[in-house]
Amino acid sequence: MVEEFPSDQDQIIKALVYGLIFLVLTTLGLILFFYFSRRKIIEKEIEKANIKLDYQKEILQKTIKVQEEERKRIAQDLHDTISTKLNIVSLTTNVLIEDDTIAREHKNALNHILDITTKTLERSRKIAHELMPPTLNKFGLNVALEELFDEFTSNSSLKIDYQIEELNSMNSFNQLHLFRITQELINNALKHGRANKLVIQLKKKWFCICVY
Amino acid sequence: MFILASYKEHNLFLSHYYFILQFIFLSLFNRTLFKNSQKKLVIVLLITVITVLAIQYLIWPEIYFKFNTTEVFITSVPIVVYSMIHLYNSLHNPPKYMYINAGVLIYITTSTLIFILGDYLSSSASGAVNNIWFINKILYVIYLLLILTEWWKNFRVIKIK
Repeated sequence: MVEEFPSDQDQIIKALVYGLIFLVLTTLGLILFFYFSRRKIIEKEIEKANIKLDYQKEILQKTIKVQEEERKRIAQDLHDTISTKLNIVSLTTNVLIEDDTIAREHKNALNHILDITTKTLERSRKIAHELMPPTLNKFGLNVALEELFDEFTSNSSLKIDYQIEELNSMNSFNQLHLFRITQELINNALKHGRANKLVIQLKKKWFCICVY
Repeated sequence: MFILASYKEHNLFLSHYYFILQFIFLSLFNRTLFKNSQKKLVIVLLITVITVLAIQYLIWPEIYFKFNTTEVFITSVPIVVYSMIHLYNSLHNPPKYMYINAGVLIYITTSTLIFILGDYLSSSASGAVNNIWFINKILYVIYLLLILTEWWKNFRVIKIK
């Protein structure tokens, strides 16, 4: 129809139709443009969040590492300085006790000193031991864990059944982590759960630790 | 409109209600989606447009029975601006009512062009004019379908919750 009778009016209407199509396409393009920009922005934001998360993880790891190093240093200092000095004190006191020229009252005091020194020595050795178990470095995680369980069972009415796979192939840092985790778990079970029996399983595949 | 048309009555004055009500409702709808400074813009535009129209009808009351091109233009352009602003806002925030917004953007822009030429089209005797009104109808159906999609999606989310 339009082709057969071309007139001004028809031409304007034709232009209007094209104009409408153009407008639809433009608005559609606008919407698509916003949609894709949005997707890109979201991708960037996710990337940023991941970087932040990684950074936080790194900081956490470093904090733990520093803490462990500090514990190790304190344990070493405790062992190297205080324990040695206290040993000397107790040895000297022993020598003095053996001495016959010393009066009886003085000997009582010396015995008291020896008693206190021995207790302090024992205490400091225990603190150093708790701070950094020497068995972990020397004999690996399995022995250290067994020793830990023995310590807990000997001091209380607690019973521990454990099943531990060979874990010594892990690096020392992770071994320390696992040791601390187990320690914390037992402590929590005692403190909050008032447990009298614990079953601990350490499986190698997922490092799964189950405490019942 | 159809009832009046079937009685051979003049029904063109109803278009004024359509445009003004559409403008008011979409303005208030967009206002709820906007941030504070943008809300002010909506209110300012709403008041300005209604004042301008009121003045126009007071001075020339006879245009009530005609197709008012100025009215079409000043009520539609703000809506297109709002939907653009809403698109821009949605770049950073979770998208809300995107289907309605897309529908508004497409339908209002195209229908504005058609209605601005409405006077010319209604006076024209050519058969091709019907094609234009047909395009308008199709776009209107798309617009309504998009609103329906939006409603259906939101409704379904509530149901799951």
